Amino acid sequence: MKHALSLFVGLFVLWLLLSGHWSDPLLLGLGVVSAALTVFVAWRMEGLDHEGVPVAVALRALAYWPWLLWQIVLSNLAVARCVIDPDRIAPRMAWVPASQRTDLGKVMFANSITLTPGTISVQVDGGRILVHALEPGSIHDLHGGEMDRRTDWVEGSLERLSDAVHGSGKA
Amino acid sequence: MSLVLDVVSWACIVIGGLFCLLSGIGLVRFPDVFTRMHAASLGDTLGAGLIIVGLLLQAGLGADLVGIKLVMILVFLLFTSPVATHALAQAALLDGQRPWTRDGRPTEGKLDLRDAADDDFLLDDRAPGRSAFPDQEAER
Amino acid sequence: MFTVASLFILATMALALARAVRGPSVYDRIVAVNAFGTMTVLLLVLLGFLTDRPEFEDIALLYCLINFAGTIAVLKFVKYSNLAGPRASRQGQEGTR
Repeated sequence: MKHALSLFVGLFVLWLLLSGHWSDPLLLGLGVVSAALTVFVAWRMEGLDHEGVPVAVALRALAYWPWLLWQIVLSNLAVARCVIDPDRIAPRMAWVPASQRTDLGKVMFANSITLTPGTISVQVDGGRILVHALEPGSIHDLHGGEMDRRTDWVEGSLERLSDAVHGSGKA
Repeated sequence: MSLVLDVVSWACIVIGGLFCLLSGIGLVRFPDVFTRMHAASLGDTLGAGLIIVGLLLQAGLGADLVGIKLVMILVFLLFTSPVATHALAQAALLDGQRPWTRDGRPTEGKLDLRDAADDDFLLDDRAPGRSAFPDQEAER
Repeated sequence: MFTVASLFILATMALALARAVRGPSVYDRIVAVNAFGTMTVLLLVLLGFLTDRPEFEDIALLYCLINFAGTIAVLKFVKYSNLAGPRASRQGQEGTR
């Protein structure tokens, strides 16, 4: 229910921002109908859970983004240097350990890896991720585990929440 | 004040354009699919980001909601580009594209994923009796 | 200034198109087309400012989403020669590669 409600509110705010009409009752009504329809379709597709609508991690994810953006800037500069001088590149593929326990946490970690240029997560297999890197140094950095720790921290809010839900017998 | 803002936004837009150009050059110069993906993600992240930030400084969160739409475009780009890149990289690897390396050695990561032909589970990990993450299931 | 950035982006689009024409494998072409789509989004945004017509921002937003869906759809079609997924494509798989 919480997920359905937050999805509905989010969609309706999106409608308002995109249309720019705040007072026309017809357009507002159509917005309510289409948001409700989308929530219904999501419910039918069984997407209304913590994975489809990850409201629980939103706060910590916002706190994680500035650091991620800074990493993106740094690795962009590194890749730009490689483009100017292609002799620098030494592509390499390696497995990197991922300590996240939930699927959502793994998705966040893998997406963070892919979002920073110079590293692409190719495959997830249990507790490790196959990473293709443009320079061996970036694999070394990933093994250092800074990004892993930070995504763990974002995921932490999700786990506390699901523990609470499971504890109350709702499963 | 507005002059400073103008200069900063112009710098952002031009540098973003330069990053896009670099990504294009990399797309042509790099030796194989995977390295070209790195080059393409250059334009997807900092190229697009800087251009949109520069335009945001020009527009402000204006009355006709241009700024908010710009932010949305940036957020959608940042969410979709890694997903598309990952799907591409995985499909290319499973299809038998071997990553190029400087010394011709295959690479240090193990490439023969269990069975490359049996890759259905990647799209369809809820099939009964077959899990994409067997180790994880065992943990639970 | 918008003109300069637009020219950079047009040059990038030309380079991506060159890769899409030359690219030895299908995946090279898909990477190039994906990059081309991103550049189209940026060009549309810049065009909105260049001609002072904020409607272009909506088009860019839409194109951004279509680009993603299109990339995934083409990828799936190349991989399974079927948009529905792996189940129905057992026979078709030899045909694609």
